[in-house]
Amino acid sequence: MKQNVENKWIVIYAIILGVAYVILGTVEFALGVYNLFSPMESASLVGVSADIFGGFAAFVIGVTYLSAMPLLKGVRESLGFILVGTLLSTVYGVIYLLIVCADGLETLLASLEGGAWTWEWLMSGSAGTGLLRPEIWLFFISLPLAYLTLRKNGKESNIPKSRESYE
Amino acid sequence: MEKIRVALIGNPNVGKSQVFNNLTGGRAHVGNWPGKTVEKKEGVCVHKSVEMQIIDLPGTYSLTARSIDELVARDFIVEEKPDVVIDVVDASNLERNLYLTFQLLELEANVIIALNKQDVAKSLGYEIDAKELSKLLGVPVIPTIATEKIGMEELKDAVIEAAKVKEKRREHIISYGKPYDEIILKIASILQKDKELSNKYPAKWLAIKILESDEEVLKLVSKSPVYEEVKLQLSEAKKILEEDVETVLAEKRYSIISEVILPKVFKGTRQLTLTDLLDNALLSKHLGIPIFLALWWALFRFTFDVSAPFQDLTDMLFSKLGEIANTYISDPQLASFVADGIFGGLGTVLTFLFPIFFLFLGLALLEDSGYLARAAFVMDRIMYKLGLHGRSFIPMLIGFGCNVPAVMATRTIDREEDRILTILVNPLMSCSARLPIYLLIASAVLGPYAAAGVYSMYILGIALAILMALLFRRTIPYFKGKPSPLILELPLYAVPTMKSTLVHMWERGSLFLKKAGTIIFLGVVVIWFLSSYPWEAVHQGDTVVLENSYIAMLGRFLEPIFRPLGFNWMATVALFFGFIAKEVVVGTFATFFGLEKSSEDLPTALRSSGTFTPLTGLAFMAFSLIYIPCVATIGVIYRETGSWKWTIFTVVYELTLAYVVALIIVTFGRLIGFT
Repeated sequence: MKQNVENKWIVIYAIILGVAYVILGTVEFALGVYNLFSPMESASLVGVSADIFGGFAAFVIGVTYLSAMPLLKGVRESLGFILVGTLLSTVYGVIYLLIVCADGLETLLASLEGGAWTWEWLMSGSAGTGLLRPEIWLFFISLPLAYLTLRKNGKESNIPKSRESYE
Repeated sequence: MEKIRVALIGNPNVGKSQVFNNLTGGRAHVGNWPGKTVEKKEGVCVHKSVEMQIIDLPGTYSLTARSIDELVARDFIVEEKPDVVIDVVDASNLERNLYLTFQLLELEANVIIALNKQDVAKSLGYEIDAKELSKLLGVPVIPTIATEKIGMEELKDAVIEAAKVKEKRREHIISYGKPYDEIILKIASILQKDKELSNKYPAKWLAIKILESDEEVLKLVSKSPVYEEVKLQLSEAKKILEEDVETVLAEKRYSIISEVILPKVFKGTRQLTLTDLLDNALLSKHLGIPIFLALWWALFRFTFDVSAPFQDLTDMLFSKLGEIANTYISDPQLASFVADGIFGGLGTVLTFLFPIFFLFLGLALLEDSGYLARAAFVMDRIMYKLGLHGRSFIPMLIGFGCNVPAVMATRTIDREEDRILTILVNPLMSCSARLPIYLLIASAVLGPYAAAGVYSMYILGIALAILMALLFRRTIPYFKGKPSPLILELPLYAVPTMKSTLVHMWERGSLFLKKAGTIIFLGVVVIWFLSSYPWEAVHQGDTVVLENSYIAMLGRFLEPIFRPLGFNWMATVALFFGFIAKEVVVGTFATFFGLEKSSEDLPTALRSSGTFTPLTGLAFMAFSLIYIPCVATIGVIYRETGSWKWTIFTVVYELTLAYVVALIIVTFGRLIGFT
């Protein structure tokens, strides 16, 4: 069966993101569990935070992206997995960015109370590795995929819905 | 002028009211159904010298007589026998709508289908073959677009035609296959011997309802002289039929609709909408629940971490106000009351205003986007298996805000046993009043795992609610049996508007402000008094000796009970006063450390005091989650169950469960090396 070229690239893009998120999630989760039982000096390793639930969430985002693979076989409903993967990726990217901003605001308040102003909040804090948190960068990388998917959904407004999913 | 009575029936949101307005010109007499608090709307339509009295029945998905709306609609058709029943069917959602049609056909009602929302179906890329549908169902089908008044004249003509042939009762065409059809016929033939009964009610319908164990019909038939014969036949049938006949018959109706009717009446292909695409992933069998948990975690990071600087700002404000009060009020007792009681105690509770508002902002976004209804649907898969009604999830979600409206929201659950069960486990859902406790203890002792600790409390609450429901269902005879299935209208996804999101957030968050100004204030005043007196014994020069206070006496009296959990007298007494309102727990700690003139912020002071280790802190959080609900919740549980038995049961089981869970956390934690 001839494959739709655009679909193919969308799925490859989603698979790359999915694999990245799955690896990231697994490492964050494993580090989180390790840190729980034998606390590390810094709760991060080469930019990846030790975060059990954050790791779980990244893993879910990855699996959601990977669930779009049936799109290659023409199962158009699978576009939904890319949309939801991107939605989750956006939610987490934005939340980690907000957390970095909140850390900055807290540092400012502390400095108003007499504490020293530092720029540490940019690289470490409540979001783990601050602006280096991979989810923030993966969110930016996922944006073109969201655009392509939405454009595709809009263009193919006559997408037939399979009998199976109708029932 | 000839007069006929026409009932208008349909699922919710099919355009039934629009059809009613089109037929009656919008002139309606509105009242209540006799003895019921369900609205009854009647209007008149004159067409071709026939006066049609149109009765708008409540919107309903089925006629099982489980809810009051279903019962009103069914009773009207069965007892009042309208000349014609117009069934308004949504052409864009035919499968679900035809289920009600099938039940009307079983009732042998004189049905006409108004196949509405043709325009919506067309926009989705397909049409319904009305003639074929009419042929298959054996009833007239009139295509309509009620919003544009299309098809209304044809509908009126069809009503008049149908009324003329009303004496010819429609035999329903539904076959449930072997052995159901034979059994239905056997029971029906017995019932036909009772002429009074069979003249009033369709015998086959009665037979189906008897098999489905419909309480109303069983009550009706029990008065018949043929009841013993029916009972005998029923016990014979039960030997060969599956246990849950109602579900089997429902599945058969749906399979006829999807396998026999739909393939023959569909023209074209249905387009995928954005809602379809999103639902494909968000309602996915395998990913639905993990996605829900991931979104929930995001909500807690937002609540906990993003609100933190605003919380600090509020804390700074109340600290400054406390310092001002201490400086400018000369009377030491009044200064202590204002600085430690009001700004220290109540002020600390108010610092949690921002996390609470952030939580409600996130919940409002999820609700307004249409996701929360999906969350209920996704969770139903687990909840139904574990014995909780799927509809229980909505009150349980409301429970994340406040357990009082959540308990009241259980009124939407039809079966009384399911409703009581949901009420009993609802206080286990972590309301916003517990959030300040988690935030305080987690910040104090859980370090980088603070947010995870808070999140785990919410997950623990859901898990315990499900487990307790399962336990009660299995062990308490009153709850035995399966919950009724969930039917839920899933709204289309929408981008939440700023205005509605903020309004929703304010509606819920402002309850916390009201509470802070009333019951929490009162609680904090009581705690300040008990912590500050006897004044001379507590205030020895510049030193505050809390151990000499009345509250310490109370704490030491209760402490032995909680010693196995690692809670000292301060923690014990905080829990004791948390009974008034859970926020008072935080107010109690704030008053203690305020009186001791600690220069540190509350979480740091709590950590320095050694009141909690990470392990006992986690146990304290779990205990706060589970133990007796606040006074207001207990009150509403009594009001909604109408029973002291269930109210006391809730208090006792929750106290016991809280103790057991906290003990497990402490014991297990120590076993694996935590302190």
